[in-house]
Amino acid sequence: MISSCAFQEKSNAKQIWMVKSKMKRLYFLTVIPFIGMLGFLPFANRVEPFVLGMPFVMFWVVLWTVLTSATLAIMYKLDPRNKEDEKK
Amino acid sequence: MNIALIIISVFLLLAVFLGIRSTKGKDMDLEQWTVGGRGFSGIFVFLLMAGEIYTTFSFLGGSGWAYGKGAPALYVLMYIGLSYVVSYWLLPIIWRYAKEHKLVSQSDFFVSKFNSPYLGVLVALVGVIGMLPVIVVQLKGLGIIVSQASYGAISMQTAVWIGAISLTIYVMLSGVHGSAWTAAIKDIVMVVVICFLGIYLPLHYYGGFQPMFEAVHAANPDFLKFPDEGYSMTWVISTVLLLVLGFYMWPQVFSSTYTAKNEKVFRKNAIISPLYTLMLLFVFFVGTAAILTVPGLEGEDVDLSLLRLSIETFDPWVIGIIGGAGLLTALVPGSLLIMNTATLLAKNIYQVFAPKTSDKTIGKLARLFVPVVSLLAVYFTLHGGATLSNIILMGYSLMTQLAPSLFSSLWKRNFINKYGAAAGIIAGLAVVAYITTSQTTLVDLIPSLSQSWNDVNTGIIALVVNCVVMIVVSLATRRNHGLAGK
Repeated sequence: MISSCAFQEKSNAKQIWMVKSKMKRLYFLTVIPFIGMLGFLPFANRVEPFVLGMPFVMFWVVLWTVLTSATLAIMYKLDPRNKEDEKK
Repeated sequence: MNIALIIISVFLLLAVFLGIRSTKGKDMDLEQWTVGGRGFSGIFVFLLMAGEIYTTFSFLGGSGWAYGKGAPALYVLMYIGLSYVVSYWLLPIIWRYAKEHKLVSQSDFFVSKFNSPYLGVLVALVGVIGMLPVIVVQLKGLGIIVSQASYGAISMQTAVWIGAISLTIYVMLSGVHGSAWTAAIKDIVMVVVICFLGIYLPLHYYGGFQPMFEAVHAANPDFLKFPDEGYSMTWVISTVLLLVLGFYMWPQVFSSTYTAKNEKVFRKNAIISPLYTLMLLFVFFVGTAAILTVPGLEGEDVDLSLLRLSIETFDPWVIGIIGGAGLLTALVPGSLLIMNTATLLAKNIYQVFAPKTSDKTIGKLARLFVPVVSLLAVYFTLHGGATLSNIILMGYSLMTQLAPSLFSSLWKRNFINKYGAAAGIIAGLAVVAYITTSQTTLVDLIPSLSQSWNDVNTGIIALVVNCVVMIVVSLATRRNHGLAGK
């Protein structure tokens, strides 16, 4: 009886730890679009080469807009809160 | 009356008709009028929010910047995209709290979090002052569209009046239900028109996108990248960060989160929303196409570039459709803005000082404030200069002042109290007002900084002052409380 209680506590702690580490990954992902779009912008600030017909800096912003969507999609998949909602 | 004006009028009548129809069978109390009874599904919330974000500015101001300033126009694409990353975290929290406490406006949120109706009055006032410039932008846009599409038959001034009157009637009759329906039509028409123009014009005049950019690049080698001074790297990074902070501080955007059915809506919408901003790319293409084809527009006139180029290229009936689309992009956000301004005035300002007023009277009063707000907006439209983009940027510096106290209120161990929040907001506003009137830059204040800091968006200074005052006053008043307790 006591040992099963302890076991449950242990698995609860493990679960909380797992949720926490998943949330950490989400925080990390949140920063990526900012770093890509703004952090690297000074290095991308040039007209040539033209990519997809656009000046390079414009292409850079377009690329990161698409990657922002992609990042958010990954966040959505990893986010345990969205799964909880689905179970309900 | 030419064919273009007739088509624009048909669009206007259609919008008014839809607005009136959508309210049939609903008891239009304040909750229905402003937050649609909290029952909107994902797609409606998406359309409503897109309706607020893509305004006439997207049409005219975006192409105006691409025409007049080149690469710096990209800031619009950057800040909207990044704001959705914030929305993923922020909006579910706001929605949950608003639902638990049955909130109707943004000011309600502050009243409830800080337990102070007077802080609510302050927040409502900031909202009203911040939203007025954006209403002005919509009216200006309407004026530009109607006067250009009339080929000069209707003056800008008359057009602004016509726009304001239609907007007022529209809002008073329909409320948020009308806006959501018109928003659906608006977005479809707008996307079709913008994509068509953005693809057709570069192909027609230059034979493709790259030849167009190469021609512009050859004429002015510095135009298609951020310059070293003025709208430089420091400017764009600081501005984008500031705008991302301010994005959800707008009362109309804030309260449209209340319309959602559940919180998952926001996380899901966040995924597709950045892709949707790419539509603005086509607006930039139009502005760029206009540089060499309709040269010579300067100052405020850069906002005319899209319409001027269209008028030179197309028959009047096409101008009618473009104008009609433009009209809807002014009508939807314009109506939501005016509605929110009126609600704030009635519920979060008037009712605080006259607490005995019944909710029914407040609902009526909110509608009566609509023409007052419109008249004020007309006054500023006809008497204030500046391009659409600059007006919006000023409204943003004002609204961002709400960000520090709002974000602190979401924090579990929040020590910011109502005194700190109020003092911070007031200090921030004072700095924005001083900087805007005196044209101060960061280097004027701290001369030891290098010249590149000159372009830092001055809204950041206001924000820093705001935070410092907020924290200091909160700590000071907390200590007083402690002593009084002893």
